[in-house]
Amino acid sequence: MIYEGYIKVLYIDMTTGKIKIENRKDLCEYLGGVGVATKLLEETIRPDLDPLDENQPIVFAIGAASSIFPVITKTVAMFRSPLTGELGESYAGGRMALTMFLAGYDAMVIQGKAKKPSYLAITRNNVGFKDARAFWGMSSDEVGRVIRDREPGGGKRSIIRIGPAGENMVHYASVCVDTYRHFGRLGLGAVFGSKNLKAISIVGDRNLPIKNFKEYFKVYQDIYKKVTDTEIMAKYHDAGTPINIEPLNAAGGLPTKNLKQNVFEHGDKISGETFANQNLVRKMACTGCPVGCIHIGQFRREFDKGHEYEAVSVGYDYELIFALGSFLGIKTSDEVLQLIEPVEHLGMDAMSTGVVLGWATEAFAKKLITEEQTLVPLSFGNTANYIKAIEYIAAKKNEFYTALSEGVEKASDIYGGKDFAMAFSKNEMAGYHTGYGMILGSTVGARHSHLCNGGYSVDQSMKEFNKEKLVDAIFAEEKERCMLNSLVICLFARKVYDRTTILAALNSIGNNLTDEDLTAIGERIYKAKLRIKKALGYDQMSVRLPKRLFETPSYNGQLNEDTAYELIAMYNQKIEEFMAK
Amino acid sequence: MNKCIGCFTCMLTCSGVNRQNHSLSKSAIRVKTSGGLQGKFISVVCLACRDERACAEACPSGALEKRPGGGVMLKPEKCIGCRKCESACIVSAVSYDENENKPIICKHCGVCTRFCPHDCLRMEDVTNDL
Amino acid sequence: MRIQISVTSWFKRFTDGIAEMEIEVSDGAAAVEAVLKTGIPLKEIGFVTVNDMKVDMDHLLHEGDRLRAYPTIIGG
Repeated sequence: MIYEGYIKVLYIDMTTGKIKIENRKDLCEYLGGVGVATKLLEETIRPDLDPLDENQPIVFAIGAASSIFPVITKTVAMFRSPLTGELGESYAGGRMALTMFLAGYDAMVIQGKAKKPSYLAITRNNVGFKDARAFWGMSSDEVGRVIRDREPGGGKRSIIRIGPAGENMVHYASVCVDTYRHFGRLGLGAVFGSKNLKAISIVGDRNLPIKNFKEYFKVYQDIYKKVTDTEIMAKYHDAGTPINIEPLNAAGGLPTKNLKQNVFEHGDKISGETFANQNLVRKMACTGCPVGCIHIGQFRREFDKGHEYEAVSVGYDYELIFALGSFLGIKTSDEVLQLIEPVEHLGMDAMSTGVVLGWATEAFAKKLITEEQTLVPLSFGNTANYIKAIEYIAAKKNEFYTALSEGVEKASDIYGGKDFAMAFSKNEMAGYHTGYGMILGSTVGARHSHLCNGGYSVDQSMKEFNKEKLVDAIFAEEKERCMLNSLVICLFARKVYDRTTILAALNSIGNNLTDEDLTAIGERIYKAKLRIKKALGYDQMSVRLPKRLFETPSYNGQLNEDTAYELIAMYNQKIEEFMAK
Repeated sequence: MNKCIGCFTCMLTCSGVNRQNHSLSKSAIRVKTSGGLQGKFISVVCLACRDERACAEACPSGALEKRPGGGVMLKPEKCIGCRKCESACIVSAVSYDENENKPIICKHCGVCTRFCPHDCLRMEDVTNDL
Repeated sequence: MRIQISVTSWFKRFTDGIAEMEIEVSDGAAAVEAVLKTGIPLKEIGFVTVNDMKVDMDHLLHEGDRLRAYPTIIGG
């Protein structure tokens, strides 16, 4: 808790409807965010039970300077992932961090299962366990709207919720935060569903005087100036992350048609520029972020004969355009948005959904599966059938779609096609076929995400390929991000928040950490994560990579399978030494 | 205001500079959505009424003095916390500080405009109306 | 010698809004020399292609080459 020497944890038991608050001094050595969440997860996770068992915890945490400096906007969620069976970690922006901060909670641990569908209404002086039976089955959009009307605190409120996919426990169901942001990856939505938890509303309206205004505001202004004056951040606001489509496509790093190709012949039709020119209607920001990277695109839909039209708006980003665009051979920006809409409303991770469908499309073409199973013929570029397939996944329509709802690893276990099931340790790939950095980074990353260590970024900046240097860079970045995520800074601003800036910010609010402390915190967190992974039975050396990665050339040319495995072994050696220290 | 991205930096800096508080609730400017996040952002802030000021007229204790150019200045020592100014302001630009028991009155200091990253807010030069 | 340069939309902020240009560089110049003449800061450049092939910045240019500059990839 800012200005206090402890971390305030709110424990919520969905089974009994009871809460408990603990002020934990011991957690301060984990700083906040992912550090505190990792420790709380370690204390409450049940390695002996299924990820969707009601006794598994959901942990949320904010950081030591959340919301009071620009772009420190994220909340971290940790849980046992139903998709991978191991460490689940996901981040979302929106208003959640600010409302937790001003409701007065650094972390929340949710355990147990409500008897009936419920939602939580959290304020600074109450936690309400409320009836959500009539909300069950509602889209994430719809339930947001009804809770907005029922709960007070507009403007100082965050509403996080699941859609039908979460209720049905699709293993990569997402949690929507304030309409346009998400805990997307690794299936937090399913864990909500397993607890009969449809939504959480948080109102933050606490009075919190600033301790040392002069010092604080001086640092605030410096950071604000850095964020708003530099080109680093302007790019995220301008066309946003979809700007990546063009360079990745030109360099052969854009996963296309289940990575059968690394270049998409219709890439220019789904580029950031095309979206900006044809669909972009609005930009928004998370609370406390002057950048505003949220891009809202619009398409027109005829919902009935006789010129009955509606305008549909959905958020878009690079990863969504990759997963529900190039990866599925979708040829226009309008159609990409048409696919994002059901994924959004049903509440699923867009990346996993797209990658799973890419596999299904190829498996269908190779006759590993039949139309009896897919119910509609799947082919690259066929938007209408993909929309149906997305609905079937969320509903677990039949045995085949139930398998799809458990991820591409599970589906290929049953139906074959492992060589083109594009996942790293069961987590579906991100949109960067950039080279060994991406492959190594995603495989060894604590949660198997490109965000664990930004391997794609190393691929881009490394002048000459060098195994040792690559392993060192990924290892260093993984630890550094543990520290950044303990604050919880939006990673888009990681170049703004260098060590000096972080220390200036923390020191100005009376947190007198040093550079060495930050290093120690990062290492402490990474070790705790690795301990959890081990307890959950994860073995780095048994990971198999899909052969497709080595068949289709990357941004950095053709890749060699043996080299990839060698890198993984080298990294494994490194963490074994690290853990023994 | 169509350019507003809803970052709330104006509110955070107003609360910070004018009330030395991290809370959003202490800000004299409020950015709201009309109809959830899918609706438009609107800003609610003192319009700096000239000639006649309803809030000052409603004040029974003379705590709101006319500010040259428009709007009012709060004399906290004269304020009795009756909240009449709050209801008198028909654009709802006066909110209430529950901790201080005083209304939150915009000083027209312009800090919100300085920290608006997308130039939605601006200051205007006005003539003295008093 | 003269070469053709095109830049992606993001770079137009550094080139006075111009997306395509023809510039004069010394004979046997490397790609980096041509890029510097556009006014785009080097740190903004992810990579360049010459005649649609991705090349290093020290790639040597020839009369009439078409060079295109791409921004760095961004993300979390």
